[in-house]
Amino acid sequence: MTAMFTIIYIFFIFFVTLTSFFFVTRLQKYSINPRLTKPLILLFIITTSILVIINILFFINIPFAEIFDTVNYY
Amino acid sequence: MKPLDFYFSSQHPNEKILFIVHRHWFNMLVQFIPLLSLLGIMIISFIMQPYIFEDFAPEGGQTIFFFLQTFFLIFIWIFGFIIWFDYYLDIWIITTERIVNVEQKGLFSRQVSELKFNHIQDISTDIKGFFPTILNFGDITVQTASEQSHFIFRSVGNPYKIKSDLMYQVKKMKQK
Repeated sequence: MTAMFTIIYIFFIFFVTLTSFFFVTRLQKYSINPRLTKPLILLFIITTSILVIINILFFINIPFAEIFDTVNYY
Repeated sequence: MKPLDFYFSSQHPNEKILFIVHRHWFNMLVQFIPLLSLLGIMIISFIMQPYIFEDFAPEGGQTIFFFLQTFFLIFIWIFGFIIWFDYYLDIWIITTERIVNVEQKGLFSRQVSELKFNHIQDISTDIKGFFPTILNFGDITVQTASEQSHFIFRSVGNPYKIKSDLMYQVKKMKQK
């Protein structure tokens, strides 16, 4: 079960990274005012990275073994 | 009208951008309402969290709670940016020669069409509804003589001014 959740979570992180990558590349390519979009791209990359790192830290601290033991007990 | 210092990929050598039109900010705000509601629910749950977890705190419950909070925050953040991205890249570029209509449909679909001023036959504006009237935004329909019979500027701010600026450019082009 833990492995399954981990695999699903890895797919989620991959999806976030891919979406962010395409978003940034599209914006860089099509923006008509790079002076406005460059700082926004930087803000997006930094904030997304921080949120993903915090999310990963919480994920690896989830006590899956204890939770599934409690579920099995009930 | 002073040309703007922007450039787009299919711009001709002597062509200058006169002005750029985006959809009115209210159109984007309406799309943000579900995200802002979700953010509000998350903030309330974060404030209520100590009271909930005081009473019943399963092992790792708080960690799961914060994990889910950051998980949904990532989604809200990314979807918020995608809404802005769609708003920002949906653009009408009015140059000295033509109108370029750029429609961004999601991350991977983009439609670009153009209309030269000498093909424009008629321009009409349409402001319908309470908020459009109060905030002065609406649709501008440009009737053309080309294959695409009309262009529509949807939910743009100050449509009467844009219409009169376009009519001025059309008149100027026809006088050449």
